[in-house]
Amino acid sequence: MMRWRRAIMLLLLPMLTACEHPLGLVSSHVEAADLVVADSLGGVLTRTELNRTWRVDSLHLRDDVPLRVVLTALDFRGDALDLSERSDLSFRMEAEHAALVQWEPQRGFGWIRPFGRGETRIRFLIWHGDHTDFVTPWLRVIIDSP
Amino acid sequence: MTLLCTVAVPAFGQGPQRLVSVTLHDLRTSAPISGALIVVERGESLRTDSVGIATFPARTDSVWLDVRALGYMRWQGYRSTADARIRLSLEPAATLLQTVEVRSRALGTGSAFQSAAVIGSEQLAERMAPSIAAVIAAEPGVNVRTNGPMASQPVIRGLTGDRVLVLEDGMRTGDIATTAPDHAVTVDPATARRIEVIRGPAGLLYGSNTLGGVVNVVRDDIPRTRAEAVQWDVSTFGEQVNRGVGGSARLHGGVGSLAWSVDGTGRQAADTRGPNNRALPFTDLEGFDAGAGLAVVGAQGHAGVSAREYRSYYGVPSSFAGVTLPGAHDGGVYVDIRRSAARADAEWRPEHGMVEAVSVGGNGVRFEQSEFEQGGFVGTRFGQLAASGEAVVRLRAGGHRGAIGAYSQWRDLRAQGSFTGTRPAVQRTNAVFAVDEYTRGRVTLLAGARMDRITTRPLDSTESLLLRNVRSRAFSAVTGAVGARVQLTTALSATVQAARAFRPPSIEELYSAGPHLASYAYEIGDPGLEAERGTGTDAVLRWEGARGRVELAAYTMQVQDYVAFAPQVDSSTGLPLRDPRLRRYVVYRPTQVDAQLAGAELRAVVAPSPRWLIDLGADLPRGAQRDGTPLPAMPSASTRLDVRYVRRALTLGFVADARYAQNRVPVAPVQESVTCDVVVRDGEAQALPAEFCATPGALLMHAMVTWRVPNAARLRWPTTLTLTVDNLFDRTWRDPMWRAKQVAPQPGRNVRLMLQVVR
Repeated sequence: MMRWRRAIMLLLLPMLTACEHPLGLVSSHVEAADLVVADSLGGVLTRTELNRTWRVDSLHLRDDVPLRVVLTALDFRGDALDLSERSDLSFRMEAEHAALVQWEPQRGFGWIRPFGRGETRIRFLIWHGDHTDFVTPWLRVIIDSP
Repeated sequence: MTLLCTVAVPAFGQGPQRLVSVTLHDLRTSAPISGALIVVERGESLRTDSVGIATFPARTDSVWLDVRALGYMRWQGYRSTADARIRLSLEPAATLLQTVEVRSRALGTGSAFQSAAVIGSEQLAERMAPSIAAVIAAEPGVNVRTNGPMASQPVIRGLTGDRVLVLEDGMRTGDIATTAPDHAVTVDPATARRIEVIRGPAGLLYGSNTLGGVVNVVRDDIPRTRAEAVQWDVSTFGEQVNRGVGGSARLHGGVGSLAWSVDGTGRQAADTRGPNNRALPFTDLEGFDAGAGLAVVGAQGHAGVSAREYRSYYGVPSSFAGVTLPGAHDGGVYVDIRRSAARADAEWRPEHGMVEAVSVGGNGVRFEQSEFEQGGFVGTRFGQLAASGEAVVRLRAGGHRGAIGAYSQWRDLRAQGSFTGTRPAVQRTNAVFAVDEYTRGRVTLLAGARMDRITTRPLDSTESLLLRNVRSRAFSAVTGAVGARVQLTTALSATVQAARAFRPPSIEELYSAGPHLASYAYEIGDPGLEAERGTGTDAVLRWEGARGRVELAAYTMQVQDYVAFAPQVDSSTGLPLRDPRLRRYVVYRPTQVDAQLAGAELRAVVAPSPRWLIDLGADLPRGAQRDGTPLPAMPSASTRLDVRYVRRALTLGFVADARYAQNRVPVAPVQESVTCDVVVRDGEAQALPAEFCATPGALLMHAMVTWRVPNAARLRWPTTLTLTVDNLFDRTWRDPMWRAKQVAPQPGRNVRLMLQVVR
C-alpha cells in the first residue's frame, strides 16, 4: 500500500509542478514618464522632458567631491511616484566611462562619485528585479579640478 | 502498391445474417482511413466512419470488394467471409489525391461546408518546414507570415494572428503564437499525421477566433485504434538553405484493449540564407517535440490520456546585408519557448438509440517564453497557464446528424521584463452550441448556433502615459451557420454556407503598452475595443471523380469593428511616429474599421493517366475598408502548378509558383523625403512602415524526386527517399506581410533530402 502511495505521489508531483504558474507573482511595472535629479536641499539640478531630453543637458562635478542627489520618478501626470514601499525596485546609474564616475546608492538618495578629471555620459535606470522599467537619455557629466 | 485485405463475413445460409466489419488503415502510419468507399459485389456501397470502419450484412461465403480511398491505391478482389472482421492496410498512392474530410468533436468526420484542404503524410514529407504555417502555405487561400523560419504564422484568406485558430487534435494549443508576429506556433509539423485546413469562419464547430479559418493538426496523441503489432516509422532530413538537420520517430502498439503511442522529433538549423547565399543573421533554431499517449480502446469507444513536451530556441532576424531592419534590435532577439501539455479524451458510442456518441475532452497547458536581448539578458518573459474542456453529445436520427455541446476555457497570461508590452490578465470563455445536419436524398442541410461569453480581467490596471482606463471587459455573442450541400451528380456537389463568427479583442490589443523588440514595434492597446463580428458567405463547387477532384470556392465576409494594429505616422512631419520612451520603435495602435474581405480559390488535382498528376491551385484574396482603403499586410494573389510523373518506384515533380505583386496598400501621409526605400541615417535604417509599401511579385520554381526503395518494400520496411529543391533558380522574393520586407528577402535555393522508413 505504501509503495502505491509513493508511486501516486511521484506521479502527482510533476502535475502539481505543472500547475504552478511559470511567472508566479508579477509585481506591477513602474510606469514612470520622467525623472527629476535634485540636490540634497531639494534644488532641481536637471530633469527629463517626456524622457526625450534633459532640461539641463550636463552635470558639472569637481574631482574628488561627490554629489549627493535625490532621484524622483514622475508618472505621466507629473506626480511623484512613491517607490519607497517597493523593495523590488531600485535606482541605478550607468556611466559610459565607469572609471570616471560611479553611483553609490543610499536609502532615499545616492552619491555620484567622481574619480578623476574628464567627461563622460551617464544615465539613470529604475531597476526592477532582473530588468529595467525605466531608462533615461544619456546625460553629459563634466568633472573639473577641485 | 500493396494492399492487404482481410475481410471476415459470416456465410450466407449458415445461420442468421451477421454483420461484417471492414477496417481500413494506412499501411505506413496505421491511421484509420475514413470516408473510403467500399463497394460490395451486389452493388451496395459503404463509407468508412471516423475510425475507418464500415459494416455490412454478410450473405455469402466470400465477398468481392472494391475499395477506393482518395490518396490510396485502389484494391479489388475476393475475401473470405469466415471471420467477422476484415482488416485492410492500404498503401498511400504516390499522388496528391487526399480525401478532403475534416474532423470535429461535434460532427465527427465529414465534408466541410466550407472550402477545405487536407495535407496528408506524403505532402508533409515533401514540405518538412520548421513551422506549421510554412507546411500548409502551398494550399490555395493560405499564406505564411514570416518573421524568421520558426516565427511563422498561417494566414488564411488574408487573416492571421488571433483570427486563425490553430488546434492540435481539435484542442487549443495554449501558447501565445497569435499575439505577435515573432511568436512561434508550438506544434512541430514533423509530429503531424495530417493537417486539416478549413478556410473561412468556422465558429460554429470550433468557437471564437475563427474568422479566417482553422488549422487542425491531427496527431492522434491519444490512440483511437489498437495496433495488433508494434508499428513504427522513422524519418530524418537535412537541408541546405540553413544547414538544418532533423528527424522524427513514432511508435504505436497495443496490449489487449490498451493502445499506446510514443513520438518525438528534433531539429537544428543555422542561419537561413537568402538568394546569392547571403545569410539572414539570427535565424538559427533548435527544438524538440515529444509526446506519449495511452488509451483503452473498445468496440464502443475509447478513453485515454496523453502528455507532450515542446521546446524551441530560435532567433528573430534583425539585420540583413549589414543593414539593421527598421526598428530592430542590433543584436537580434532569441526566443526560448517551453510548453508542457497534458490531455484527456474519452468517447462512448452506444450501439443503439439516437445517441451516436458522447465525447468529453480537456487539456492543460503550461507555457513559458523568454525573449533574450543582446548580451543574454531577458527583455521580455511570458508565462501562461491554460486549461480547456469540451463535452459533446452527438445524435443521429432519421436523416439527422447533430450535436449539442459545451466548451470552457481559462487562461492566465503574465509578462515581465525590460521591454514588456503585455499586461498580465486572466481570460475565461464559456460556450454552448447545437448543430444539426439533415440529409434527404441529394441534399444536406446544416444549421447551428453557438453562444459564447468571454471575460478578460487585467491583473495590473496601472495607467500610463499612453494607456488609460485599464479595466475588465466582457464580450458575449451568438454566432451560427446555415448551409446546404446538393449532390448534383455522383461526382459533382455544390455547397453554400452563411456563417457568423466573432472575435473578442485579445489581451494584447486591450492592454499592450510597451516596446516589442522582436516585432520591431511599440504597441499601445485600447481597453475600449469592441469585439469583431464577421458575417461570411461561402460557395463551393466540388467535383470528385475517379481521376481527381476540383474545388472552386468564392467567398465574401464583412467584418464589423475589424481591429487593424496599424503603424502611426506623425502627420506634421510625415515620419513614422516613434515611441516616447525609447524613441526607437514605430508606434502601433489598434483602430477599428468595418472591413470587407472577398476572394476566390481554385484547387484542381487531376490524374489524366496513371502516370501523370496535375495539381493546380490559385487564390485571389482582397481586403479593404468600407471606403475602399486596402487593409494593411494583405497577401497577394498567387497561382501554383504542380506536375507529377510517376514511373514504378520513382515520382518526379515540378512546381511553378507565381506570387503576384501586392500593390494594394494603404496610402501613408508622407513627406517626399520618406519613402519605402530604406535609408541609413546615423547608422539606423529608416523607411516607411512596411504596411504602406508595395511588394513585387516573383515566379518561383521548385522540383522534387521521390524514390520508394523497392528492396526495402519487399522486406516490409517501406523506405522512401525524397529530394526537393525549393526556389530552384534562387530568385529574390519578398513576403508582403513581413514588417522587414524592404530589407530582407525570403530564403533562396533550398535542397532538402528526406528519408522515411515505415514498419
